[in-house]
Amino acid sequence: MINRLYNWLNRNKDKENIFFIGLKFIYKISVEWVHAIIIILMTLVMTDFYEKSYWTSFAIILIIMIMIEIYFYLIGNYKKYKYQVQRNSDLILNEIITATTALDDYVNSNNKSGKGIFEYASVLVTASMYKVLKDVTNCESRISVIQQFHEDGKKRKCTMISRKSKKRTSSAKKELLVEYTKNKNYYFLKILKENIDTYVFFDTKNEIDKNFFWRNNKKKSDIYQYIGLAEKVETKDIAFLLQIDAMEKKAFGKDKDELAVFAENYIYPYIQFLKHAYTMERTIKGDERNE
Amino acid sequence: MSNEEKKLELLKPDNFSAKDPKNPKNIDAEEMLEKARKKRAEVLAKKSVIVNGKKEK
Repeated sequence: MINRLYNWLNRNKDKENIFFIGLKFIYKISVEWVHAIIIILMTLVMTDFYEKSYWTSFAIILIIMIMIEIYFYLIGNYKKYKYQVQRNSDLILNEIITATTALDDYVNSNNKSGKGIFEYASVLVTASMYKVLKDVTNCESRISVIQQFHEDGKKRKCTMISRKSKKRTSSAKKELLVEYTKNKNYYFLKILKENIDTYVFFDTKNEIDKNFFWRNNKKKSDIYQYIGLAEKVETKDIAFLLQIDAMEKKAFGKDKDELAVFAENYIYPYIQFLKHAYTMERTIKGDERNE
Repeated sequence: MSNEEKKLELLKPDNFSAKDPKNPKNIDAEEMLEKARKKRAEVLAKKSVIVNGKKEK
């Protein structure tokens, strides 16, 4: 509940209306020495009311003091929350710079042919995200990137081009037909088949078990939470899907709101990096074709 | 094919031979990321700054 309030404040803090300007002003003057002076003054006034037996005034001041204490408690926690958000943003920024440096090295060492850029970027993303999520959540996760493509210009196929988990760093070389998935009923095929290019969340194991194997709900999964985000990159069909599976309960958040904030903070920057790599590969290959 | 049509086209994963050193599957991504982190730290350490026309260390 409180985290939801902090997330809402953090998202809206740059709005320029009277309400948020007022909140920002109150936040700025909410420093320790102001807190101490208020409490000292109110204690003095309260002592005076007590000695004079003004019980109504005494009770009012006491209630105000309790409210001030609750307010400073919330502000203190919000400052801790902000520090955490800034620390994690710094971590993600450093990881994206690192991945960009590694990708540049690969492109330059590959005679700038464009070959394998997106696949290599995916391998970097899964390795980097696994490390970051382990650091931030202290939980195990499984990250994968699935690329969709057209076979013979018509049939839609997909293949997992990178995957990282505690047990292994690998990718399934197997290509799957997206349209005809009678036996393969994984949820990612539904995302690709229906071109769902938005965040897909499952926040509990129960929901995953009910929906994940969308054509066989007797099958059970080993994951507790799921975040998937597919992107079109100016294409008609989805170009790729980034999937993050939590192997422990509530690893990415307690509910769908927290999952949304988590995805916005930790997944969105990597999605942008992948989109950039995808566009770069297409541009280089397109230029080569034109020469 | 027009530029607009090219944009709508999906990229197909490249074929690499299993032994190709450029095959992304043959590259240790964690090692590459660690190298990139070190490289960045070295570049930052060496970089000098010019403030108001004067070079600072």
